[in-house]
Amino acid sequence: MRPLARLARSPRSPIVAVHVAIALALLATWAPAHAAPRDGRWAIDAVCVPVGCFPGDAPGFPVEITAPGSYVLTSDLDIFAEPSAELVTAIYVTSAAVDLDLGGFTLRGPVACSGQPLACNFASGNGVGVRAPGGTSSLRIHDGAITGFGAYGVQLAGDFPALDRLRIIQNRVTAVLASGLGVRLSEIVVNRNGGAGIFVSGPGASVRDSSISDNGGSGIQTGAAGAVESCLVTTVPSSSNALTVGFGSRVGGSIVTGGSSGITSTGGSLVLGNFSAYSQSYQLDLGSGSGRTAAWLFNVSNQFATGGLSLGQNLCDTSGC
Amino acid sequence: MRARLHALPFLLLPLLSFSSPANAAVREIDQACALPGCFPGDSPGFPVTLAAAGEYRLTSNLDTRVAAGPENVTAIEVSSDAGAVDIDLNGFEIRGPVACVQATTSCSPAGFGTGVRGSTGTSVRDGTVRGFGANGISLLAAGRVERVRAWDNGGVGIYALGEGSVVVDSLAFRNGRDGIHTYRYGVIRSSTVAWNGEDGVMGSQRSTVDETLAWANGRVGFWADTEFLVRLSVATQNGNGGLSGFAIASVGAANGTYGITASFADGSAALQCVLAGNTNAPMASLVISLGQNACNGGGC
Repeated sequence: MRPLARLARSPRSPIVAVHVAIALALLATWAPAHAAPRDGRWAIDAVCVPVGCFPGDAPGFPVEITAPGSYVLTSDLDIFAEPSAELVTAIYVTSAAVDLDLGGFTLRGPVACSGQPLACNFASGNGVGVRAPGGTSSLRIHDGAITGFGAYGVQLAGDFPALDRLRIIQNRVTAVLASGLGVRLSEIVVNRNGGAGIFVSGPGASVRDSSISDNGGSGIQTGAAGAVESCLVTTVPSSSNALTVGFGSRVGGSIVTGGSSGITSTGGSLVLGNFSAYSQSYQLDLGSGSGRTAAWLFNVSNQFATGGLSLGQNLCDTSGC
Repeated sequence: MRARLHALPFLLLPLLSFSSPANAAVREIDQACALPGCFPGDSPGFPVTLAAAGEYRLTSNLDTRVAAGPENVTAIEVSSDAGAVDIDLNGFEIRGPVACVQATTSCSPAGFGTGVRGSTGTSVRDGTVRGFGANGISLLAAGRVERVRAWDNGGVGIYALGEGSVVVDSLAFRNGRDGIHTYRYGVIRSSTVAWNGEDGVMGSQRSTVDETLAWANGRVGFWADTEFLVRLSVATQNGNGGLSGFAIASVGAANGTYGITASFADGSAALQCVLAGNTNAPMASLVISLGQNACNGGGC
């Protein structure tokens, strides 16, 4: 820009100066032309990120989604080339009612976690695959992979988000951290994240048909009135419980192994038809006091629970309990 | 022979002038078409009227707040003579202007708009219905609701009044009246109802509830008038009772009044239930214990 400006001011070339002045004026009014939505969906890919993918999205990471609507990835998004990539968030949603289709693609950061005990190659970081603060209700994220971010795979504070058919792998801290009401997860694969697998603190969450394995912390933790159905939860560290649900929850049809305790609840919950085994202390830790839990029809391989109440037809080691 | 071959394209023209069956099978609805009218039979503006049987799919959010008096606006209405209609919300949200206060009947602004008003054979699935003056979804004849989240509606979240209606994998939160309300032979399964102003589930006359959670609703978690079956479900911290009807292998804990309360026509009964930590007693006086229940840690 500076040489062009000097040329435009030069008295020796008036014609060139006029042309350059016009070019400068055009440049001054230039703005990146965003692609139009296709079939009502805004596309996100590695090409548009440096210039901004749509109105409201500033150039570079994170891709900022600031308006309701439908968005779809049309390529992988890698943040490897970013400086301090462990601090980078890939997609930041600030609007309610957003549908984010990962289109089978991957959001990929620089973190890798391996070994036993699990260790990640970054000691710190706050990058997130998809991050949405409070006020982002009815966010839906589906059909893709989120791997290698400096903190969380998905971090949500809005109410009623839905996550479907995602693989969330090797993020430095927690795979899914959500604090809003009514969080719904289905068909999620969570593996080798440095901290917890799924941590949803708000009431009314559900986790269904999902596999949570070999993370550095607990497998699943829900708030009150949570539902965990048809899940596989495998937890290695003996310092964390494999599956913990809040008061008034339901755990059914799941296989839970490892951890300090297998299935734990603060009480008032129904634990039905699960297999829980190979935990360090209790297979079932079902709360005590006035709001005792029904523990019914599950199989336990070694020792039985503390608290809770067996309604019969349970199997503890080789005998009924 | 050559003349016949030359005529062939013209003979095929009438066939080409129709859409393929696949395209014709699904009609799309979005915010842009709602104002001029989305298809024949749908007059401009809200509600989007579905006058013919078939499949419909949202391709954007629908927001009625752009309309005048949005609290009284219905977003989608199925004509009474349309026949079977399937509405795929496709992950999108149908949104009105109302917000409610948790576990109370306080919602504002008050109004009579509905998110989706169905008719005979209407099914609604895979999306969110939020913020309407009256009910989120109203099915006045037998229908189906699947994987829907209904919240902040001034009336009932999901009102499935038709005989034999089915509500599965759904969530009703913070609606002004009941979370889910079914009538005769209704089926509710794998759902969660919480923070609604009145009952979590209101099931009338031979409705069944399976594998459902009712938490912190203003009145009863699962409430019935007659012949109501609740199975493998959990009712906790509701304002005026947890379970009712015939409850099997369910939990009623930490509710106001009773773990299981008497339904107002037929009484109630409990089998293999845990009833603990409720403010008055595990069971109301008219409830019959069928055995194998646990009340505050002891048999009952």
